[in-house]
Amino acid sequence: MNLEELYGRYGENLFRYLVFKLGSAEDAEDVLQEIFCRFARFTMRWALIRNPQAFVFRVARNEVNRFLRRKLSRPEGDAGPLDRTSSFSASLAIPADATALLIAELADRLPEEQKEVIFMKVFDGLTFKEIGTACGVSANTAASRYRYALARLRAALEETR
Amino acid sequence: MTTNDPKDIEKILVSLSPKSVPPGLKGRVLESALKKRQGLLMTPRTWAAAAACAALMAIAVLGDTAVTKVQNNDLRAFLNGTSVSRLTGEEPGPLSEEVCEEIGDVEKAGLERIILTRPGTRSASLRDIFEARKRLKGWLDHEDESTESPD
Repeated sequence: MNLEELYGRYGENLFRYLVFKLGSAEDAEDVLQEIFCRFARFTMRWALIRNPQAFVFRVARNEVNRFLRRKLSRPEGDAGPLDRTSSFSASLAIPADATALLIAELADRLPEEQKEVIFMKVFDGLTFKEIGTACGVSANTAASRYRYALARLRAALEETR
Repeated sequence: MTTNDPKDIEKILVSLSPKSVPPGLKGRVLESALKKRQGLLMTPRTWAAAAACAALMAIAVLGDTAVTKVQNNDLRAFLNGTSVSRLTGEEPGPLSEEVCEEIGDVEKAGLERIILTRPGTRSASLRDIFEARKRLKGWLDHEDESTESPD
């Protein structure tokens, strides 16, 4: 798989995921470039990877962590980046519908790992197995997180009414 | 809107549209990746060349080891008469018999001395030595007539 083909398949999904994780389109672009530089070294090994989609998201996740660690270790950097939480509102267009807007706001208040599963499942179309591989947990754990997240959203939505 | 069903929440989430990707992102990302690849010391092509070289070196080393082993066996067989038959498959006659026709009497005496003093020969088979001496009887000027076979 060459780089162009790789970008065609996963590039935009990865970008959206990175914006969600980092909350900034500029940082997401930097990290996406880093990820593709990393992929440039893997050219010969793609045939050995069983699930490329899960693999690219795992690489992206690791690269996000590396980016945040690097930012934190810079002397001029503030202590904020690692406290930065992923955000739906940064990666989604402002919905016209009031309920949808409310759901997006409520989703931002979910625990970090549940938000991540929701984003990967709904916006990137990953299976629970792929989410599990990308996040380093089992498929059952990923599915549970998704169910809990939906239940919380439902409960939060009921409360607001 | 009914929100008791998680499917409804899912539907609302799916209806949210992600922000569009900035224009020219693909070009920038791929350009930087290709630049990085060009700067790499080990490109896929050099990896392939390195693998081929490693394979050739392995073949050369293994071949050399095999040839050396054969040569060592030959040398061992040459130095130790007992294993010649194992390597060549034919029963060797006494050395003196083989070369007697081609050398003079003086050399025959020297040859016999060599045969008798070769440690491998001596340790391998004293019987062969006496056999050789018996066959050389009459050819050797200094032959002691009283020498007898252990038989």
